[in-house]
Amino acid sequence: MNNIYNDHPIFDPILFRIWTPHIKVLQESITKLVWLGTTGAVVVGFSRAGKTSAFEMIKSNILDRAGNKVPVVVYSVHRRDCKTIKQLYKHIFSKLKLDFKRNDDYEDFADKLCMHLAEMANNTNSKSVVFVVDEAQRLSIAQLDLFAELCDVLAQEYSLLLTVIFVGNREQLKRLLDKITNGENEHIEGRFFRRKIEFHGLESLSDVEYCLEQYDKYSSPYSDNPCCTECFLPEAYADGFRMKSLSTSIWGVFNEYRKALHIREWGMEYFIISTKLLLTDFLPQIGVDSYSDDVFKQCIELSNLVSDLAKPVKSHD
Amino acid sequence: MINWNTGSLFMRKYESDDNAVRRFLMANKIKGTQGYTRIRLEKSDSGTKKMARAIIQVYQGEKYWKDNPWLFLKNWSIIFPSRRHCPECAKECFHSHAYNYQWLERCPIHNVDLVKYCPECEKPWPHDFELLQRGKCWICGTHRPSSRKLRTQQLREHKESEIRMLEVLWHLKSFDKHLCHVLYHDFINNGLDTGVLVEDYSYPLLAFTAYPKIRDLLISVTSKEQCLPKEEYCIKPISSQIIENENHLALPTAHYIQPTVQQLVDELECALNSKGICIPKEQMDHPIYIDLAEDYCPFRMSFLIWRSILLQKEDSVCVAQSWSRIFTLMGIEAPCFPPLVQAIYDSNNSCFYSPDDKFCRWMLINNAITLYDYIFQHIQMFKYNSDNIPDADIRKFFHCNYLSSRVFRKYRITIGDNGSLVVIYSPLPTFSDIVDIQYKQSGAITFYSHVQDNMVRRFQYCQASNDLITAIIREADHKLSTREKSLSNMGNWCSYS
Repeated sequence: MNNIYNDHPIFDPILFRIWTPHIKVLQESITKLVWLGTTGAVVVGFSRAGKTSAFEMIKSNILDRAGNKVPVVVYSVHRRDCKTIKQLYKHIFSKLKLDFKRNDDYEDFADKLCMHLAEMANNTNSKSVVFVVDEAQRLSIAQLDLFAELCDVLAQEYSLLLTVIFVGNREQLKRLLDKITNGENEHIEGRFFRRKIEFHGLESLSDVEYCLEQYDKYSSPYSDNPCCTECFLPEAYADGFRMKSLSTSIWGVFNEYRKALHIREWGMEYFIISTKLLLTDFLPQIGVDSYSDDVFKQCIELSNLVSDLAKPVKSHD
Repeated sequence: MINWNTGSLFMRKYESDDNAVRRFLMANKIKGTQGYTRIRLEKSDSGTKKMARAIIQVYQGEKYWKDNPWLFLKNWSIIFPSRRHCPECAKECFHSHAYNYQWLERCPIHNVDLVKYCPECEKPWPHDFELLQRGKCWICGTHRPSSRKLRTQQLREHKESEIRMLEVLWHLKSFDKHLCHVLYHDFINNGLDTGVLVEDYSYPLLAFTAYPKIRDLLISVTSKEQCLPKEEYCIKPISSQIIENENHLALPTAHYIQPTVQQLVDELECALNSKGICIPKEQMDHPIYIDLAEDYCPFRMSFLIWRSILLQKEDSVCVAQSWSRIFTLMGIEAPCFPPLVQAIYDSNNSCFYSPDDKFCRWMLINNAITLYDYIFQHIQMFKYNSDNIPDADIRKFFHCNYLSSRVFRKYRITIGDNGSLVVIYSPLPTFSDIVDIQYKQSGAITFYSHVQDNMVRRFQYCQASNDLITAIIREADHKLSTREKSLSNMGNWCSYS
């Protein structure tokens, strides 16, 4: 048993990820952008909804029309000391582990980054590259010119399409979008911010069913292992118990919190923590027959959903 | 771990190693004139794909350079002769080894004259180690032009027809590996006593003879002044033994060569290990660069060069040539490849026969040992600038009985009456000749015969006691040195067991 608790991927906060219907939608949306030759879009969603994880999950699944893999670079903007374009370049380079010197100028940075992106596309025979800028609300308007320049160079020199996806929290990104749409930055707006993709956490019973079913089926990331439910509840699993069967109860419990806290959706982080506690701690101890709504309430309490989201959040409408 | 750009966008088939370094530097915009930056090529084993994996690491080793100032890269540009290049290819960031062939006058792609100087900065074309100092020139250096049009030109892919021409030139290089160091002055009849390299003016003649199908291509890229008229190329293929199928450019290799060479490599590696000299595998699998000698141990250096030449890897010709130049500058002869043995004449040149595998193997081993000895001595001389390296040191190192002899060293290649390639093995006098009749009559020594099938010993030329053979060879050498003072100091190791 100890080995399971040490090694099982469910305890790895980085490796353990679950597909949701909205991640599938996001993947389709990004693929559509690439197929249509769009230069950019914005992905907005509430905090802790799972946007960053979603891009990590879909980044190797974007294919072009010819079936070639489209390279996706995910970059998360740094707030600290990253106010100029050069500082942004330096941060991108250090994140992507590219070589740079202290005295490199803008041209050096742009050349090397374009070459890097072009080589990535060349390796997969793709004519497109997707550059995902996570936490885009931290960018200044001047820094957005960097991405416009990359688009131009890649298109003119390497005949490549660069699709830049800006990802951010709904409220904070709205401030940046307001500045962009004031008329002076039309070139940026037209290029990157005309298309908007909404990203959501879990919004319905069917979403919860979809996620819980994965505990019963997949043993990500090690496909040879038994599924998560079987691993932690072997006897109950043999008797026919499935996590999916708890979806109505789980959604019902969350619904109470949703109304009380005035939240629209269940962030993936909170969902995964709650279900992990249920599956790996509570159910093995009390047994599946003793499960009740109160048990899952405890799981939700322990996931910090209440303390984190105690303040009512405004509707995005 | 830095995520380097590989410059794969500039990569084309059949590019030279230097070009791989250039595109790497260009893709990463590496600047600097310190000469401390060293770049390592990492290649896959398969032919033209070797550059696909490009260069992955840049080393910094200031202490190394401070400790070995005589190896400082900028000094080597004096030693290495300038390269030739097509200015148009240089603009497209491409260079082929073939451009260094003396007989190649025009670029097979652009049909312009190959030149020795960059048209932009008017300096000689740089070697890979000089590229960092040429950063500012966009034609010969690593700087990318600012013009969008020129930048796009650098990314142009070669057409099929262009690739085909480069492919033929590339295969000539591999053909060259089998023949370049074999003496064949009977063939060209000009008294040369050095091997013919693929760069040499006389090389096309050999290539035409071997591969009549590529005659037209070679004539189209070769200077007419330097080559014979077309009708003179109508010579039969060199050997049916070598060219089994004209459509197949690769030459067959005798089945015993590879295991024999591997056995030698293993033996020498063990000998090095017993001296506490351990050579990491990654060093073995990379081409030898002079500037990559970490501690400059002569045994280690010699072994790496020797192994590289003997295994006839992709770069072995280049390595051999690079070192040949250094040796030439120092006024000493360069080491040679072991010759191929196709047929043997007797001492009267009256008849020839194909030797059996055992004899060929013996000859290969002898020459391989000679080669190591040569490289080792020259490395020593190069390092210490001294030619006073006693034989005993080397013998002590080997812990086995290899004997130096200048008598048994002559191998020549010629064209037989039937158009076949033959190697004359002509120890003059023959070993049999120098042995006193008393030994022969006493039965103390038995001579090798190619028809003898029951040879059981490994490195056998003759069967006798060690002391006896040592004495005989010493005596023969002494006689030879008194008779022919002008004989080159090129020695040979005769092995006996």
